[in-house]
Amino acid sequence: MNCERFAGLVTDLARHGIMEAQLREEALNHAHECERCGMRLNGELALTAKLRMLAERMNQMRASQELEERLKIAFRSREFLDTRQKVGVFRPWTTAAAAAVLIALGIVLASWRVAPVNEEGDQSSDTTKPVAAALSDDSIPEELAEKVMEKGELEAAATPPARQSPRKRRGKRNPAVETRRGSDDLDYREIEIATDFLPVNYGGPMNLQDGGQIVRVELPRAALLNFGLPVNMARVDERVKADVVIGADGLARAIRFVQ
Amino acid sequence: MTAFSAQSDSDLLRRAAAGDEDAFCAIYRRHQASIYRFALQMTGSTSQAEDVTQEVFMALIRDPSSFDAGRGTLRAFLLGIARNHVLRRFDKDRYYVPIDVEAETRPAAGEGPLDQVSRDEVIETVRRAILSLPENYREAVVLCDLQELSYAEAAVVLSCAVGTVRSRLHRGRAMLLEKLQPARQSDPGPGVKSARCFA
Repeated sequence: MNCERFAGLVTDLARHGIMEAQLREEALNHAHECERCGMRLNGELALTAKLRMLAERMNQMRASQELEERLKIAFRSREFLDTRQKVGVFRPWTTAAAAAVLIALGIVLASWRVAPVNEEGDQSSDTTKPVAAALSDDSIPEELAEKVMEKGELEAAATPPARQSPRKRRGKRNPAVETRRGSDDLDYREIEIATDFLPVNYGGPMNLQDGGQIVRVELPRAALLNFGLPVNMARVDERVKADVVIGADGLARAIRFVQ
Repeated sequence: MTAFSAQSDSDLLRRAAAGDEDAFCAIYRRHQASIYRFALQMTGSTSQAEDVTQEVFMALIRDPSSFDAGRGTLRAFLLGIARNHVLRRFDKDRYYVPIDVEAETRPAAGEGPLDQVSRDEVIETVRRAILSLPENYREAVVLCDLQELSYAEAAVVLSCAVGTVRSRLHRGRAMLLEKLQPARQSDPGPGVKSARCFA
C-alpha cells in the first residue's frame, strides 16, 4: 500500500468504519512503516476521540419541555391545518372554475357590447330612411337637405358604441322600457330634421362648461337668410322652428333650424 | 406511551396523521434530541436549535404524508428538513455577527475538577473548530461523526451521493485537524511550563 491509497482509507480507519479486514491490515501495516502516515493516523484517531467526547457531552442535550407543549397545542389545532391543506388541494380547481366563470362573463359582456353597436347601426340606417323620405319633400331647400343628409350619415358613421348612454344600455336589458323609448326616439326622428348648430355672430366663443340651455323657438322663415340658408320665397311668411343655444349670460350662442 | 416504543416510525406516523396525539408525541420524543443536537451543532445556538426543532415538527404536523419510507428513515427525513431550515437561517443571518454563547457544560461522573476543566476545554475547542468549518463540510462531520449516521443515511439527509459524503467528511476532518493543530502545538502538556532563565 502506498501513502496515497492510505490517505483515502485513513478516515474510515480512524472512525473504526466497516472495511475489509485485509485492507485494514494493509493500512495499519503501512502506518507502522511510514512515519508520516502513522502520524496522520494518530491525529485522526485523536480527532475521533475528541469528536466522540463532544458527541457524548451533547447527547444529554434536549429541546425544552415547553417546545413539546407548544407542538402538542399545534397538533391539537391540526384540524384547522387540515382544512387549510384541503383548501390548498382544491385551490387549483377553484381557480380554474373562477377563471372559466370570468371568461364566460367576459364573452357575455362582449356580446352585449357588440349587440348595441349593431342595433345602433340598424337604428341609424332606419333613421336615415325617414330623413331621406322627409328630404324628398319639395318644401325643404336642397342645400339644407344636403346638410341634413350629411349630418345624418356622419352621425351614423361616427357615433361610437362607447358613447351610448348607460340609460340606453340599461334600456336594452329591459325590453318593456326599450320598446317605449325606442318608439319615442323613432317618432322624434320621424318628425324632426335639423341643421347643424350655426354660431350666432354677436356671441363670444362658447365654453360648454359655462352652462346654458337649448330653447325651442319659432322664427320668421326669412331668418334663414341671415345664416346663409336658402329660403323658399313662396313660404316666406311662414314660421320655422329653431333650437337656440343660450349661454349662462343669457345671450344666444348658436342656432339650428328644425323641420 | 410504552406501547408506542415497539412501533415503527411509519406506524406511528400513520397514527399521528389520523389524529393520534400520543403517536405524535412518541415520534417527537424519539427524534427531537437528534434534531435538536444537529441544529445546535450546526448553529452553535440553543435558541436557534429550538426554533429549528419546532419548525421540523411543525412541518411533520402540517404534512405527514410527505415522508416516504422508501427513500430513507424518518430520522434522515427529519434531519433533512432541519438541514434546510439551518441553511435558510445561515442565508438569512449571513450579515450578522453571532454573539458567542457559552455551551452548557455538565461535569461527568467520577471526574475531578481539573480533569473536568481540561475536558471542557478540549470539547469547547473542538466545538468551535466545527462551527468554523464551511457549511457543507460541517454538516458532513456533524452527521457522520457526531450524529453517527452511516454514509448512506447522511447522503439522504444531504441529498447527495455517498461518495460526496465521504469526500466531504474526509476534507472536513482534514480541516478540523489543521484547525486543532496550533492548539495542540501551543499546548505544553500537563506539568510542563515554559520558563525564561533570567539568571
